[in-house]
Amino acid sequence: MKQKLILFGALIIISLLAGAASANEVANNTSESLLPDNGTLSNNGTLPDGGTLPDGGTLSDGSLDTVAPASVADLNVVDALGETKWSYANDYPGLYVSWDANTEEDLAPVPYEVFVSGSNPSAIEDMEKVKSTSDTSLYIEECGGKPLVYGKDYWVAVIARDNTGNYDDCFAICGPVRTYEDMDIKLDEGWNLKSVPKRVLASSAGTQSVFGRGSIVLYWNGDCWEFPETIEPCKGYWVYSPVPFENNIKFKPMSSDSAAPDVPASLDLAPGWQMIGHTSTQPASWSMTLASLKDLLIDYKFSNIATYSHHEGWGGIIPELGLIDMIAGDGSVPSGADFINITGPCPVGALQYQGLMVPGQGYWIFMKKEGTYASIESMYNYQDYSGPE
Amino acid sequence: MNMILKNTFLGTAILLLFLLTFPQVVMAEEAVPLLPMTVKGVALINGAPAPNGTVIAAYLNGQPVEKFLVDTSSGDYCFWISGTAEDEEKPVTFTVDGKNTGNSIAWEAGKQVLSLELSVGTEVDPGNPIKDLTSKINSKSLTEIGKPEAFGKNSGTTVIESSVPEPDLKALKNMNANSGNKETAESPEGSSKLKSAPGFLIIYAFAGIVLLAFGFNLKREPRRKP
Repeated sequence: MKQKLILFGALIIISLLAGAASANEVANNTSESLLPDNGTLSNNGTLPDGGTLPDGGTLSDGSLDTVAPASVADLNVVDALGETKWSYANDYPGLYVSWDANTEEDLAPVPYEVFVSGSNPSAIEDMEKVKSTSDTSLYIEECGGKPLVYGKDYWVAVIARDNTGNYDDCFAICGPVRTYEDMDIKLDEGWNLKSVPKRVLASSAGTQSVFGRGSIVLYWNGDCWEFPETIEPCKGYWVYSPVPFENNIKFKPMSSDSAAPDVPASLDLAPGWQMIGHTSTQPASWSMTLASLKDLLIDYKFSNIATYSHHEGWGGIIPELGLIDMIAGDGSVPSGADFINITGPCPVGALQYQGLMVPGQGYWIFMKKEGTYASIESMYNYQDYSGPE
Repeated sequence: MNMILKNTFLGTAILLLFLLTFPQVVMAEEAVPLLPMTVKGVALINGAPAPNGTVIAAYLNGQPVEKFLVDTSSGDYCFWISGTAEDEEKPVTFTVDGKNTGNSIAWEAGKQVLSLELSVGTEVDPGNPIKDLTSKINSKSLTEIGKPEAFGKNSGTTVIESSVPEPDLKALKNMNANSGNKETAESPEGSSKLKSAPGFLIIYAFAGIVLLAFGFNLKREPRRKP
C-alpha cells in the first residue's frame, strides 16, 4: 500500500513537470514565430513581402495571432533519380523534397514554401524561394534561375505558414545534399556482359557496390583474366549474378576545376580480343561509339564486335571498310527488325540489326592493331545528339 | 541424450557447410560463356549469289545451332556460333537452302573464319574481284592464316585463330584471396566476403564437423585399448 502511494505521488510530480515544460514550449514558439524581415509583425497585419493578412491577422477575440505553426516534420531531400530503359537513360540534375503535412487548423490554403540555396544559409532570407505549395513533396530543378549542377552542395528548407503568415523561425532545413547523374544497371540471373558508361562515384565504384554483393566480376585485360576491384568506363565485364538484380549507380561529375580538369575516360587496346563498354547513357551507332578506333580514313582498327545477353545469346557485326560504311550507312547487317522499339531488352539484336551500342552493355571487340578507345564524349559534343528516332 | 545433442550439432554443421558451399557449386556449374566462333562469307547457288530469302543454316556436331536469312542481293551471310568447352574441335557444317555445302570447320572459341564461300549446285563461281580485294585488305594484319584444305571446297578463306582462354574461376579466386583485397578498405559496403571469407568459413565449418563427429570418439579410443 505504501509503495502504491509513492508511485502515485511520483506520477503526479511527473505530470506537473510535463505540464510546466509544455507551457514553456508554447511561450517559446510564440516568441519565435516572427516573420523574417525585422522579426515583428506590423500592427495592420501586412506581410513583409507586401501581402496582407486575412482578417487583419486578428483572432476571434480581437487579438493579433502570433502563434506560428510548427516547423515541418521529417523533411527529406534526396537526389531525384533518372529514368532508365534498356536502351537509354535520361537524367537531369534534380532534388526530390518531401515532408510530413502539418496538422494545425489555421494553416494557410497554400501553407508550404520551399527554399533552396547553393551555400549554407544563416537565415531563410539567404535562400531562394522555389515554390509555394499545398503538397508535401516537389522536385527542385533550378537554383538562382539556373539548372542544378551535378555534384554541387545544396541546402533546402521548407516552412509552413498559417493564415496570418506566421512561420516557425526554427524551420526545417536539410543539407548539404547533392544530385548526381545516375542510371539503373540490370543483371539477369547467370552471366551478363556489362559496362558502365561513365566514371562511377569513387565511394561506390567497387565491383560489388555496382553489381551486387553476390556477383562475380571478371575482366579480360588482353593478357589474362582478372577480378577487378573497381568498375571503370570503356571496359566491359563478365558479371555473374545468382539472381536477377537491379541497382542504381551514380556517376562522378566532370570536374569544372580548371586546375585539375577531368579528362574523358580512355582505354588502350592491344591486338586480339578485348572487352569494352559503351560510353554513353544514350544508344549510339557502333561507328560513332568507336570513332576513336578508326584507322586512317577508310578502315577501322578492329574487325569484329560481338556481344551477349542471357536471352539472345551471341551476335554482332563485322565492319567492312570505312568507305563502304559511309555509303551503306552504319555497316550493320540490314534488317527490317526495329529492335530499339521493343520493350524487352535486346542489346544483341540492337547491335546486329541496327548497329547500335546501348548503355550498360559490354562488348567483345577484335583489334587488328593496337589503338586507344576514347569515350564518346571526347569524340563528339554528345549533348547535340538526340539518339535514334 | 548426449547422442541426440551430438546428432543435432552434426546436422546443423552439415547444413552450414551446404549453405556455404552452395554459391561455389552454382559457379562451377555455370561456366563463363565462351566467345563465339565467327563465320562470314557469301552463299552461292549454282554459282550465283544466293537470293533474298535464302536460309543458310549452321550445324555444330550435326545439331542445328544458327540460321541466317539472306537479305541482300550479294548473298552475304554471317554467323556467331556459340559453344562450350566440350564443343572445341567439333565440326561445324552448313546448308544453303537445305542442301549441304560440304564445308566443315572445327569449332573454336573466338576463331574467325572470313570469306567462307558456301556453295551448292553445279556451277563454279568465277570470283568477285571487289570481295577478293576486301578480303585481302581485311586479312593483312591477321594473326594466323588457316589452311585452305581444312574448309572443304574453299581456297580463299581466311581464319583468325585468336581465342581467349576460359577463365579458371577457382584459380582466380585463390589468387585473389592470396593477394589480399583492397576493396575491403575502399568500399563502404565491405564487399570482400565473396572472394576470401567463404574459404575460411568452409574450413571452420569442416573442422567443426570433424570435431563434432569424431571429437569424442578420438578421446575415448585410447581408453578402449587394453
